[in-house]
Order: sequence, then structure tokens, then C-alpha cells
Amino acid sequence: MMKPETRQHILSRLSNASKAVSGDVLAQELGISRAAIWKHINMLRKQGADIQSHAGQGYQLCSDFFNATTLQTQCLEHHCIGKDIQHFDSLDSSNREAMRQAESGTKEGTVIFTDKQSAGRGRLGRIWHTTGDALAFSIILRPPLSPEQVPQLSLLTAVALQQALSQYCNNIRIKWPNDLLINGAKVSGILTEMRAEPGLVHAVIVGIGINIKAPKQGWPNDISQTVTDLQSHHELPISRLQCATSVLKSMDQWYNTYLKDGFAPIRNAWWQAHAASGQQVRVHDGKSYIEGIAQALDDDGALLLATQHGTERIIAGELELLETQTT
Amino acid sequence: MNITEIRKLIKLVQNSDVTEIEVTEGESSIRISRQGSIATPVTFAAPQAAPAPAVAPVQEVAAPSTSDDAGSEHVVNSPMVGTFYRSPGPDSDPFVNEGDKVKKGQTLCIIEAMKLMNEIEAEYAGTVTEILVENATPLEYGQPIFVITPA
Repeated sequence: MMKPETRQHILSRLSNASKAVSGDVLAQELGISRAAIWKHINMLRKQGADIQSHAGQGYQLCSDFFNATTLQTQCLEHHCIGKDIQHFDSLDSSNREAMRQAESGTKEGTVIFTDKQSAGRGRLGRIWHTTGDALAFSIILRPPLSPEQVPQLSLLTAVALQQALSQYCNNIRIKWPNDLLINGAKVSGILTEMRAEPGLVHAVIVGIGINIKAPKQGWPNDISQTVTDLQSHHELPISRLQCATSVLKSMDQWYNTYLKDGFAPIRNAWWQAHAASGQQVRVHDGKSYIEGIAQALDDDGALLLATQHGTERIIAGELELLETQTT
Repeated sequence: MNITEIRKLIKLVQNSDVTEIEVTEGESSIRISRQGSIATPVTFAAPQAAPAPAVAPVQEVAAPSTSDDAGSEHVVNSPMVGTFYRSPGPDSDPFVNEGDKVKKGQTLCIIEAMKLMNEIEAEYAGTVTEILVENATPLEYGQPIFVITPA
């Protein structure tokens, strides 16, 4: 019997293995013959997986193969996020698709991945480029919160990502509220959107973009800030599938912690991972600049700045770390 | 008691610390309570935590519809603390201007807090009679933003 679940198991095993897995081991795990394994491998190859056979060692998944079903099998144990996964070749934007689906009742925890975006967005109408070697996805949430609490999810996402991506680079810091930086260059961006009325949240969409590898032709030249990618800071090849698995796992765990224990654990983790804690920063709020020392994170996720005129609460704006004299 | 009066009572409860209110007028009586909402056995750090208000089933309250509001002005309030934006980006045109006609569901503005973008949509078809807040300025919870005269 050629069961698709068997094939998914083989694919997961190969995706998670750092070296070749022998046909004998796979056959034993699944209780089928080596010949059956070979048939499944051929079927996977036909579906596009780049699996090579090494004599005497076994099978190895060579280039990255991203597949929604495999990812979903990795998320079976999750509380909420990743229980349902959709994968598109291309979309206008994963956030827009997620919002459309949320409005028509798609269940909480659904994650929508896309390989390309024709209208990927960032804050205030900025363009977010999604190249072939990136991850772009959006999570549909319907948290039992009042709308005023939802901005906390923006910071939760930064914490979850920072922790999940630290396996590739131990120098990832958060820049308020939720940019992820490696040595000051942006490696990942988050855009959260909400539909709500006073007192009631209809849906929250958490959109995440991660630069896995730099585009072969170089970064698009309309990008206004310094950018980087994970692969430039990690020796072994990074699998998109494995990266997505870790991020969804971390998101699910933190979301569950938040619903159980509130914002306090997130606030602590966030402050520790923040690049500018206790440092001199400048915030542009769309009109003017506010300078001060990043003193603390408020209960709702606002940044508290100690300025010449006392403590200021920052709720929106672009934060810049000012040069410090440390060497 | 008519629907407009009931709606005013709901607003009153939403924008205050009152959890329950009961009003009797002649033979009709209405009780509005926040208690009946989905139980969330969670204590959040945020001090402004407020469960969604629910209407007790003493008197059935229909969803707001445009016809009920004909002639009276409708005020759009901010559901959260944040920064108010009239356009999707600094270089784009505003979503709406004073005097514009809007359809139900049309985007009126964006409110941002901690990079969470909340697009506010028109609940009613009508005309934007007044915009009460300046672009890129802070909003408080429940602050009036637009006055819309229903069509």
C-alpha cells in the first residue's frame, strides 16, 4: 500500500536529518520493505523533492523542499498555531489573503505561506520584498482579548521569532517594537493587522517575513534600510521547512503562555532581547523626533523613554539606536 | 425605549467602569451587562483589560442597521490607544475627506500601536461630516474620530 502518510513521514525524517538516512532504518521505522521505501522515494522525487541516494549510506534531501503537509505534520502537537497550513505559489500578500479568509470564517491558528508576493507590505504602505529564498507567512488569530491588549501580540511575535531564529545566529536582537536585527541589519519583519470594534476583536493577522538567503541578483535597490539574511550568519544550509517549523512551534508556545499567564513573561523576555534596553535612542513619530534613554517596556507594550522633559510613552514610530561610545 | 437609546446605553457601559446597568421605563426594562461575555479565566497584566460587553437577553437588541439611524449623526470612536493615520502611507491620499460619501465597510483610517495596524471601517453608509483628529496624532481609548451622517 502506498500511503501518503508514509511518504510524509519519510520526508519529515529526511528534512530533519543532517546526514543520509538508510533505507533499512526507514523500512524498520515504518514496518515496510526497503523496496516499498524506494517506491515512496521515487514518488517524492516526482513531486519535486531533490532526494539523492548515497551508496551504503542511504537517502538525503539535498535542496530545500517546502511542503505544507509536511509542515502540518510537525505541528500536530501544537495548541493552536499551525494546526492548518496552506501554501501558495504566489499571492498579492499573505496578510491580505489571511484577512480575506479570517473574514469568511477560517479557523484560528491557520497559517498561510506564499513563495512570492506581488504586493507584500510593511508599515505605512512600505513594500516588503519576498524573494525565492525567504519565508513569508501570516497567522490568523482570534484572541479572547479586548482590542487594547492586542498590540502585545506584536511584541510576543518578536520574542517568539528571536528565540526560534537564535539556532542560526546567536546575535539576533529585537528593535522596538518588533524588528529583528543582526548587527543592526534587518533580518525579519512583522506586520500585525486587526479588525475590531470598541470592546470586540474580530480577527488578528500576524504577518511575518524572514530573509533566509540573500537573493542571487542582490537585494532590490529600493530598500531604505540595511538588510541581511540568516544564511550569511550560519554555516550549514538552512532549510525553509525546518526554519518555519521552529518559528511556528515557538509562536504556538508563546501564544499559549500569553493566554495562560498574561504579558509579564513576554515583557521580560522582550526586554532582555531588546537591542536598545538602557540605551540612547531617537524615535520619529511621523512628525517630530523624540530622543531619550529606553527605560522600560510599559504594560501594553509601549516604550518608555526618559527624555529631558520626563518620561514619554512611545506607541508608534520608527526607532533609531544612537551611536554609543562603547567599543 | 428605542434602538438609539439602547445603543447609547451600551456605549455608556463600554466607555465606563460600570459592569452592569438596568433601566426601567414604564413597562419596558433593559439590563446591559459585561458579565455574560465569554468567560476568560485569565488575568492579564494590562490594567485596561475589559471583556467584551454583552447584552443581557432581557430585551432583544438588533444589530445596528442604517435605517434606524437615518437623520441622526453617528460618531466613530477609537477602539484603542494609538496613532491616527488618515492615509495608508505618508505619500498617499487620505482614505476619506470631509464631505465624502462612504459605503459600509469602507476603510476610514488606520490606528497604529506597537506596529499593530487597525483599519477602521465604516459601520454605516453615509457622509463624513467631520474629522475630529489631525493626521499622525495620538488617540485615546474611546476618543471620537469621525462624525458620519448616515445616508
